[in-house]
Amino acid sequence: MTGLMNPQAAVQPLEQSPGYWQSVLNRLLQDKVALGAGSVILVLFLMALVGPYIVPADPYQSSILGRLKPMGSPGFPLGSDELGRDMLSRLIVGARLSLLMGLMPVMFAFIIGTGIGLLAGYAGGWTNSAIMRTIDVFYAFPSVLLAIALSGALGAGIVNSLISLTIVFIPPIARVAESVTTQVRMRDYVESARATGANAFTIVRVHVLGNVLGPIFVYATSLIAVSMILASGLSFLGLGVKPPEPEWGLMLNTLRTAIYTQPWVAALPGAMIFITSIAFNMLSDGLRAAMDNKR
Amino acid sequence: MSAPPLLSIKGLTKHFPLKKNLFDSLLNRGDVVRAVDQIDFDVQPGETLGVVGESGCGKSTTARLLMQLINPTAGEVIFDGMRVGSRDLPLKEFRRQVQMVFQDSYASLNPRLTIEDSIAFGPQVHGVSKQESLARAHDLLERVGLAPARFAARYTHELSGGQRQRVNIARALALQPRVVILDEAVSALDKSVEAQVLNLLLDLKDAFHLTYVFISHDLNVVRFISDRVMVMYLGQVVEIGPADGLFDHPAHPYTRALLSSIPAMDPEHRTEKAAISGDPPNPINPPSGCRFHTRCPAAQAVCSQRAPTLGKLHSPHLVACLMYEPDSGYQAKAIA
Amino acid sequence: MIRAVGNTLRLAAVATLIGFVLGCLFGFVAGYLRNSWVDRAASVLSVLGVSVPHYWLGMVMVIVFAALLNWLPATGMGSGDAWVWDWAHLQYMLLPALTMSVIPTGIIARTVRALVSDLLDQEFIIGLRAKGLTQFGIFKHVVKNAAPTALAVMGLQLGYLLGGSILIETVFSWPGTGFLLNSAIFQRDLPLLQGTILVLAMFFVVLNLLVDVVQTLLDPRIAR
Repeated sequence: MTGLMNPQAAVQPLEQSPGYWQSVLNRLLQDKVALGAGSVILVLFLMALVGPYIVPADPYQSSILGRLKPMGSPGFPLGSDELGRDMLSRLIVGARLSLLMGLMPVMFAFIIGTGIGLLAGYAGGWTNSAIMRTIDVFYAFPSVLLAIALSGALGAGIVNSLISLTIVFIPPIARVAESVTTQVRMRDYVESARATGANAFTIVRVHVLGNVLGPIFVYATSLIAVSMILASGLSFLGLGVKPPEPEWGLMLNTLRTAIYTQPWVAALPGAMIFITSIAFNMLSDGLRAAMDNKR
Repeated sequence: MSAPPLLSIKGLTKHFPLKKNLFDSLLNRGDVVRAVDQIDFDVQPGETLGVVGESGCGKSTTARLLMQLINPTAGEVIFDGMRVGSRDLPLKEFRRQVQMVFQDSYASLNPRLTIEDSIAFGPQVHGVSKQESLARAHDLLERVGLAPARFAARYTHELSGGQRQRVNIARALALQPRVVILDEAVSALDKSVEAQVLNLLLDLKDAFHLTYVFISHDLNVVRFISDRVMVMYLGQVVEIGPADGLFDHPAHPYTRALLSSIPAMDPEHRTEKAAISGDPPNPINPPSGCRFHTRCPAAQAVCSQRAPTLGKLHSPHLVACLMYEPDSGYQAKAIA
Repeated sequence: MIRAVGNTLRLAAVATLIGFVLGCLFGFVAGYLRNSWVDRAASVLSVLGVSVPHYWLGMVMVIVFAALLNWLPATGMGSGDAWVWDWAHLQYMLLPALTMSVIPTGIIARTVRALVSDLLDQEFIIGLRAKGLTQFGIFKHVVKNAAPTALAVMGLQLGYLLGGSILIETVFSWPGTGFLLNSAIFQRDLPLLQGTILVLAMFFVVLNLLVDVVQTLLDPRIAR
């Protein structure tokens, strides 16, 4: 190329601007509500991680005499459940399972759903229609019903619940992914990337992925709370976690009969679900607001 | 015209099917938008070919067909004597030779990439190492007037429209092409910025021995920058010739109308009346015979029956109009 | 089975109605008074509404209103097989319907608020005020523009509630399709399970179709 002055000297840029994710993080850190929600989630994570090692009592230890004690009883700071087990300990350890059931299905569905959506969105034409119509069949079912149907078919237990929940969340994520990918695919920079002769994989990797992951990710985070509630709901119906594992939904179920004798103790596990769900939803909202401002 | 043309377009056609429902798709019927219909033209090495016409005449579609960003319904593109897509000239190799600058400077750049990464993408696709691609990018930034130290690590949204378009030009040049297609590349810029970018384009053309295809609806700009000009109407070429010759002595009635619609600079000779009225006809159902006959002030009965072909007026000026075709059945009158 | 479907329908319909009314109320108020404390309070409420595990809320309602205050009955649908719209029966419906309406209220309120605030920001509203249209006149315009989407969301919520009623019905022992599903699961009655799910899914699909049709009728932009 005539005029290329010095191919070896790449000038060191003096002015560096923050990248996209960096600015999102910056904006997020300034959002007090999101920070509050984030700290709650952090506490819950800690509970899940170290909970079993710091609980005051054994969450599986039952005691016939100690059944359904109210909050504040000696030895049972938050009361005891219908089998005499300490509520506080069970709640702390329950964080582990409940968070798991909330996060893992969404994570897997995110990976799988984004893959499907990317494929359908970028390929277009017949491939797109075929894939999306199949997805729509699943999408037509209300999620609760689908979850129950799948759980019923697969049987109870943690792994089966995880599988059915993942399947429940793949269609909505795939839909969002396909929609965003189709929009991005029509942008001029993708066309000019095609004009350089790059193959589809490279184009998707360099140009499409970065622009598409953001919105999908925000949508996925809004599903975490739903997943938790759904998972707890399944346990509540007896389809998810099996006793004696402490899981907040299951605890609600077994304590249902106790609402006349120890109503506040019986309501505790649900309060935990509520708080966690609020925290995740607020974080998701904050994330969306942080990403909206720029682009 | 002694050198063989760099680009030769023969019979290029693009019809977009308009299928309203599933049955149309299955039975392969339905209306068709004849965006580009059987066009032939050449691009000489080292020249700037301007392409003008109303909105919807097929200019942008032609550009994309040239770039093979859309697949032609018929016709072929021949580059340097080799057919594009054949074994002599596979598509990826052709892509290195012909690049394009789009109209929307913002949408042409990936907002997630830094400027230097955007420019370096093309060379990397063709096997150039990352380090050298970045070095090339920095050098090109320098060439288009953007100091690499200040701009290379920036993002799209931090630049102005003119700066972005310079980046797009740098990006087009990164692959060291021989032809650059500029699709309304300066139309969206402020006039003063437009002038700077036009001058930049001229400098770059000399420095890198480029050939330009310059598409625009702004006739003054086209006259300024082009060596030859091609006029399109409703998907067909109606006139093509040297810029000055065409602008001073337009042959085709459409070209005449187009040129006379330029607001006059001289207050003594104001443009009183619009030369042609109405909107261009629908490309789904173009008029029979000569497509312009419905709006042509010189139309005769034969014009709706026979389609004119692009013939020599006085070479190298070509025009597609029955007026200039001997034995076409057109009753010659005194031509102004 | 038919009776169960009817029971669920009644409950879901009432809940959706409550949710729609309350949701629109909150949404409109929040949209009009946007960026005031009312708006922020309303958006906090809708986040709460969307986050709450409704079966837990049902339990809490039972605790508060039935166990502690003893104002309303906790479970069941009232005496007799047939449904009558009288207080003897309505009191059984009150708690479950209110509980079920929380999530639709949250979602509808959010949607309506976004719609209203977007509409009010548009320039044609300024044009209307410049013409001298009263506040009420503008209000009618806003309603007309927001109605199609709001109704569509309500329709979808109704469908969702039909399918998702199982949890509430379990808590309140409301003899609807959800309850049937529950028993089918526990008794491992596969045909009953499949049949119920099929019926519910059909309802959902039909409902979606209806929503699409109504939306097309109301919004001339969508109809082609």
